[in-house]
Amino acid sequence: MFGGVYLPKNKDNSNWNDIVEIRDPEMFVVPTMHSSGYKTEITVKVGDEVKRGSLLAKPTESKGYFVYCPTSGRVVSIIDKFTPDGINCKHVVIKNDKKNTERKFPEMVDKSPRELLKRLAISGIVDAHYGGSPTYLRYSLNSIEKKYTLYVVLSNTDPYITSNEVLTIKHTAEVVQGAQYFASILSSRNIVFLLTGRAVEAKKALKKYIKKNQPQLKYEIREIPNTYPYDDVNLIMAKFKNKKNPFVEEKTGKVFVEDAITCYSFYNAVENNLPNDYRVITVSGQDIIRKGNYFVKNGTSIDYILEMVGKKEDANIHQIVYGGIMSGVCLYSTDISCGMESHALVFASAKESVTGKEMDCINCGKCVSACPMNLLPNKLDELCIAQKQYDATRYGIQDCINCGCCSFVCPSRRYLAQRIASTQDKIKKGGNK
Amino acid sequence: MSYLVSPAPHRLTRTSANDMFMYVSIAALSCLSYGFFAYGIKALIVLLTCTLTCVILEFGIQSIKNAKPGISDYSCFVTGLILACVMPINMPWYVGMIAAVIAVFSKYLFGGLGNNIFNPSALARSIVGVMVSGFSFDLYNGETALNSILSGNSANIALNELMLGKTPGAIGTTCIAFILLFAVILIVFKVIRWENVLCAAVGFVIIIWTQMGYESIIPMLCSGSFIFVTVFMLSDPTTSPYGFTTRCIYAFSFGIIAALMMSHNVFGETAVFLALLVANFIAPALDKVFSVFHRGVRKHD
Repeated sequence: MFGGVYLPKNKDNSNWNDIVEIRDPEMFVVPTMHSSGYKTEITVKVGDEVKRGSLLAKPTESKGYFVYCPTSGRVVSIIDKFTPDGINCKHVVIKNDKKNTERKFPEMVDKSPRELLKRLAISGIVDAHYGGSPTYLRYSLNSIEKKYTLYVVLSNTDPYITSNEVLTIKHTAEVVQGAQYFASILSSRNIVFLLTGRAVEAKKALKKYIKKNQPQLKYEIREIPNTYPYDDVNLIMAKFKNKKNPFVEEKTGKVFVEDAITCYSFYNAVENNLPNDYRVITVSGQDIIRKGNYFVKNGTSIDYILEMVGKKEDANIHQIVYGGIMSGVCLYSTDISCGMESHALVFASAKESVTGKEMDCINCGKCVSACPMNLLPNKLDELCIAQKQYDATRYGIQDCINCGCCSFVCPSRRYLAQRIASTQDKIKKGGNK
Repeated sequence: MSYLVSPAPHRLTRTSANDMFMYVSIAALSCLSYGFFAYGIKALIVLLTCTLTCVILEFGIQSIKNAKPGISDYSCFVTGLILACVMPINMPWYVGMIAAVIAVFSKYLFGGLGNNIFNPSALARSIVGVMVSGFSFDLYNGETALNSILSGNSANIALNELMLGKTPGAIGTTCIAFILLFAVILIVFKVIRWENVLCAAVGFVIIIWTQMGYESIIPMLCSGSFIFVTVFMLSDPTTSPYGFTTRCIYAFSFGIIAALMMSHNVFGETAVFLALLVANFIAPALDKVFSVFHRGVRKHD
């Protein structure tokens, strides 16, 4: 096991013990896409009366999103807008009528793997850890026959993301139940819960719950290091392929990784028949008054969230990061709807961000020792600048998981991760040259 | 209201390359301060000639390279200060200047910061050392510790004198206790790597033990600028390899070569710098050979 960077714990985290529901705004601007590469068609028209849980959009082909209405009200308009990830897609604008009428899925009588998979497909659950793709696409009917391992990430190494950890502490039963449903789709014998070393409370809560309520459950708790990015799903998968995975002993088979929020949403879809239209998001930042974890509905604007959490009077918000501080995207404006592909929202002040001028590489090799994938970032950087895509593939550029550790540790402030990511894009689009 | 938009990651480490150069500069300057205490104004003249020449040359080259005149980083201070540390006290002032010119050009001829194969100060000091070996005057104000050990007078040297730097030697390298203190501080600040220091010492001790017996180990370690070179020059990030294993091999081979050259009295006080140049020379080769252990590195067709 090698690489990664240690990010010190955020001191405010100790107070974040509850998950608060944000009051519904007047207007919802619901995005119909969370990630590029999928096609959806809108099933409502302007002027339609909708309930919470009405279908707003469904996939045109086999791949795509089921989008459900987060509130009851009337469709005001359908507009083109950018999502936080920079995808231009149709957004449905809904005016809240505050009647709170709901529409639910039919009751599930048969909880066989096949039925659970069907429910997963229509539930509208979106992965945060796979970059916003629909969860059901990773599962297929074939996978019912084979035996796979399920990994559930219950806490994150990024100090700004505590949503998974707090959800595990507060809603242990739902998370464990949801994980069991996923495991039942995969017909896997046991579930592996991955917890970072510093998530002591979550570990206690989990053990206590299972001992008390489900003593027959076959499970395993494995500790992942506190160093970033050991909770990254790409790293877990890649290390597995490489047979150097610290978490896995089995040598063949496929890994399925879920997180606490996905399990919680799946539990609600199965037991309470609720479509998934929310996400637990950690809101933080130096100038924010009520930092903490919030249930944020799909289509709530960032502006409204900022208003609800409150900023200090002399606040000077310098940067808005959607997603973890190491791998998230920056927002250029607050007039953007919050989707369901993120765990965190950071309103960073100027003091928090460290910037510097890019210098010549001093060849210190810190990036090499920080790389969790055991690549040579300094060599890749050189090849990226020289535009030698073919040589870069020979140095394994396609294996980079874009965690950003190399850029983090670089004393010369070189844009290593950024350059590697853009070259990866070029290679994907243009092939090897 | 406008917000800063930048690609991930949005946090960086606090320590920048310039900070690292600054820490090393402060440590080298503190080592030199012992030289002022011992030798007075002479040491100051050496410091000024070496450092000023380095900074002025760097300023000139950067002004030609870039549109804006000025120095881009503090590496020239490090070069100048370390060069001043390793200079003999009675060196004529123009020799210091020549050494500084060699040091700066040895960096820029290979393409500037981060691309040089040899440590600039070590290269300059070895060339100058070989050059002035024909001079007949006393460079060190008396017989240096290394010379007296090699000529069999090691009984004259007490260990506490070596530790406190009361024996003649290069300006900043005699006070071993001081240098070791800075070694610990620099390791804690993650400016230099512990494995470099340890492996070099192990290699050195093994060879001295087999060549000269165990009673010479500590006097040899503390003489001939070995500890100064290990702490300040061997750990130069640019000229050392970038993997952990390769760094260990590099430092270990430096220890062996230095011990062999010093114990056989090749070029006297200059031996350790020549040994460093040999180690620098094998570093890129080590990187190349060990890169096959990294993920995705395929053999070239």
